[in-house]
Amino acid sequence: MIEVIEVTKRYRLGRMEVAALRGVTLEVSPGERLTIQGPSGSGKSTLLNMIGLLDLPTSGEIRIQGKETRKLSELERSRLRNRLVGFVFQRFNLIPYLSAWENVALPGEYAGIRRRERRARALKLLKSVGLAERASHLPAELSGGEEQRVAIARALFMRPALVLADEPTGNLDTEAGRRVVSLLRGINAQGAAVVVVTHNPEVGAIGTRTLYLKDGRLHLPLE
Amino acid sequence: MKLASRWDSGLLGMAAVAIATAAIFMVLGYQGASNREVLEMVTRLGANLVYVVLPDPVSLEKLKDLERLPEIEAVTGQGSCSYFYSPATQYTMGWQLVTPNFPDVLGIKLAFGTGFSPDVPDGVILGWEVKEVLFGEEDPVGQKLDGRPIIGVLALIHSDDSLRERWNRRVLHTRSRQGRGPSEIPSNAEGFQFIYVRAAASPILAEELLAERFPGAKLFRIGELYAFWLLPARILNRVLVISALGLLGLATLLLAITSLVSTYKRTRELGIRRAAGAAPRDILSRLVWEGGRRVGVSGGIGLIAGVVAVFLSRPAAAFWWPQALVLPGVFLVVLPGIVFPAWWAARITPVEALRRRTVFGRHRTWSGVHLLIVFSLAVGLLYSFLLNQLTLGVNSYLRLSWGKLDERVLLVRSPKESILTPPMLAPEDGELIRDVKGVELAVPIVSQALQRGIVAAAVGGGIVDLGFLPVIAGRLLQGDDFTEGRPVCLVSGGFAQRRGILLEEAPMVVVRGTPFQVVGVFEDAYIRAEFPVDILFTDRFVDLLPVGHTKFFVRLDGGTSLDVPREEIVRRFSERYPQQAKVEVTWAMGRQADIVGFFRAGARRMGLTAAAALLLVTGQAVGLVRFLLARRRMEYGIRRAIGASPHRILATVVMEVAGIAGSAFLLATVGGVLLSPQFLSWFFILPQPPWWGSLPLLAAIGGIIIVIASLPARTVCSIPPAGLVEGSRE
Repeated sequence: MIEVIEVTKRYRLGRMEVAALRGVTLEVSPGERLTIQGPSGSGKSTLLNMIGLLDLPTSGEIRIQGKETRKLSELERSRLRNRLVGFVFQRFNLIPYLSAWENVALPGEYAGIRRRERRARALKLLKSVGLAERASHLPAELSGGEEQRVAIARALFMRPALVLADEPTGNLDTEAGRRVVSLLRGINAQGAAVVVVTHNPEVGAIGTRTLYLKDGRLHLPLE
Repeated sequence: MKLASRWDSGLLGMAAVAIATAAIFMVLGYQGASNREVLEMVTRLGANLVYVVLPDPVSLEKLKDLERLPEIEAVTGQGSCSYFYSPATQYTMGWQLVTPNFPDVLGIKLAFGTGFSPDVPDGVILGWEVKEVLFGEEDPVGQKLDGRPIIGVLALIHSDDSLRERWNRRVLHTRSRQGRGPSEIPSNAEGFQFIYVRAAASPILAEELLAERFPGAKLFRIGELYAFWLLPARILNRVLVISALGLLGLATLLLAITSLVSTYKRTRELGIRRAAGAAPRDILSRLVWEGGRRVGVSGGIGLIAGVVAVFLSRPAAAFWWPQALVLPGVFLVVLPGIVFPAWWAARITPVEALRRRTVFGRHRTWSGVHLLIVFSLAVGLLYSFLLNQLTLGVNSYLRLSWGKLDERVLLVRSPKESILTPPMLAPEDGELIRDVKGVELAVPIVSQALQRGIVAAAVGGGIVDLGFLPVIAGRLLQGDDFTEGRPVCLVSGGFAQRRGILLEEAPMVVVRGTPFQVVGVFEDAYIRAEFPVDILFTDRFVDLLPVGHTKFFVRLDGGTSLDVPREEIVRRFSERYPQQAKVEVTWAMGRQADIVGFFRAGARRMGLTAAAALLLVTGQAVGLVRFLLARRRMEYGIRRAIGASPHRILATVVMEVAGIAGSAFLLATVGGVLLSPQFLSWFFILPQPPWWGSLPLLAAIGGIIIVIASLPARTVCSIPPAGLVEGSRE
């Protein structure tokens, strides 16, 4: 479903050029559960951003369902991201002035789905993550675990084929973290491929395949 | 330096404070100069002088009786004034009947000769300009003017002396003369209707006495008179002072917004300071100090710029004591713009600040900043609205004054009076005008006073093409009226009002036994001075006005220099009537152009402050957008991450700015509709232009502001979403 071919990413920091990714190649199959582990600064999030079309590689190619994404316009990339990819961030990234259900329904706004349908679908998703009664609450009124569950519900709104999670339990206590991991498993069970970036071995254990990233280079799966 | 860093360092806010400080310094200086002018002139003449307009002229003897009263020190009077035009010198002077002590009481010194004396009863005293025109450097005392001995010459009166400078162009005499010119009103022989009374002590006592002796008389202190002459300039100054204060208010807002943006970007730094032990008051005082330093520097620069500008434009406007208060005043006004963001920043808890979760808006509704921007934008738009209404009003004044006449139209008429023999201009003289090269149209108008001061006029057919006379009801005279000789007429608005004429009643007016049907009413509020006509009919009935005065409205084709045909007309008349002052040729628009010129110059000066105000409010709108972008950077990133295209983000920002601009537009329109009648009345613009005339301008300004203010949003759109989402670059 996703092919990452010889991708490099360099950033310029003042006069210095820093390589975040160096010739990374990997493939994500439909329905796969992939975890990417590595120390802080190894390029995990950068790789996730590349896969999710949030950023463009300096060189190399990323293909989604056979399409070469480099040739896509910004608008086409946005639409592809909207339809195919769901994001779960470490810091939840909910919009503070939107209620829980409005946050969940946000991707529908850009897909042109009517408000009534958006709301119905968002409430259903919130119910599935155990937050039906918190639908009208603002993010500031939710606990960290609840915020992350809202973020997961948002990631599922467009029924994406791929869910990308960047340290999804990084800001959560153990219990809340377990619940999030369980949800991610559930998502995968419904057919979506899940790619989780983490340096938490417990979370990394959910992967059917694990890749290790160090200094921007991909290493063989850990045994 | 990039725009972003300019914002961060608050340079735009500083520039705004500098502009406002300079503007306040300048307009305060102008205001002070105007006040001083009045004061100096009043001091020159003495504050105990009272000008009186009597209901009826009084004799010289009666004025002398007044001088015997203990409350009154001296009395002088002026009677009728006849104007003389000399084609040889192209100069108009006034022959002014005065009492013998006139120069003394009005404090006008003599440059040559002596004052009036019984020994030379018909002697005349020339104003300085009359002497210069007629005699040049020569001392004219002892020579004769129009058969009268010249006994003296008044010293030059400075042109700033608005009340007395006219005497430069007058010939003073104490014995009435018989009029010779076609327009001279039979003089009210010995009468003096306008008198100057110098009070012995308090002018109040003198005023009470005069009011008692002359019921219905109008009394003015000399200071009021000078102030009256300077009234338009003083009103303009007042408006400019208000505008400059408005600019300062806008600058304060801009300063506050730039400080907010800057503070927002330093949230983390503030959190670290708090964590290191800084109390809220330390944060507050630090930010206030930083802001105060910026205001001090910018205010100082503005002050220097103001001083330089004043010295370059009007040195007399420098050094009025209130100007010394400009800098402290500016400090005081802009203080909230410094303290408010600092207070806001000091409220942040260290934890929130370190997480960069600030008090800066967690709500989607408009914040106080939005409302402030709406308000200041509305002020800028309102000012533009009022200025545009003023311009429309001045243009409308011109249209009402002279219809569609433009700078190509000449007015050819007999001189009002002349020191040479002025034969009457006749309709037949049109032959000398019509075939002059460059003349497109020559329309004769013959007017004659009838009984009870009513003036009737017969006009040639070209009046239709000339587009002269704005008709406010009914219709203008038409081609058929001329060819078929229809007995129809137009009447002036004033005449129609006095007579209660209503067009729907098919009213008739009888002129020397000939009935005319009134078909239209023309606006005469502003044109009576040049065109004092009550009833206007076609020249087929010119025989009804056997001793009428003829004048021509001549339109030039504009193909060549307008002066060439004008000079040719003068030359032809001089040739046909040698040694006679037959015509006076002026630009029809000249007088009106002078009148509106002041307003236009004023509108230009106000336009500058309006432009500065709009610049500041645009800066504010840009500042707001930058503030929003800074505050919502992550939100936009999230939206991008879940599929929003850059255009959607741009559209979101544009819609928000449009909402602000739209609200300001509505506020400015409502304010403009309510305030413009009062504003225009300050400038004596009576015909109120329709309020919707300024809407296109407002919409255009609003549109430009939306576009400019939305420009910073492009930056956010060009950043990859990964760069916007927090913690995405690992």
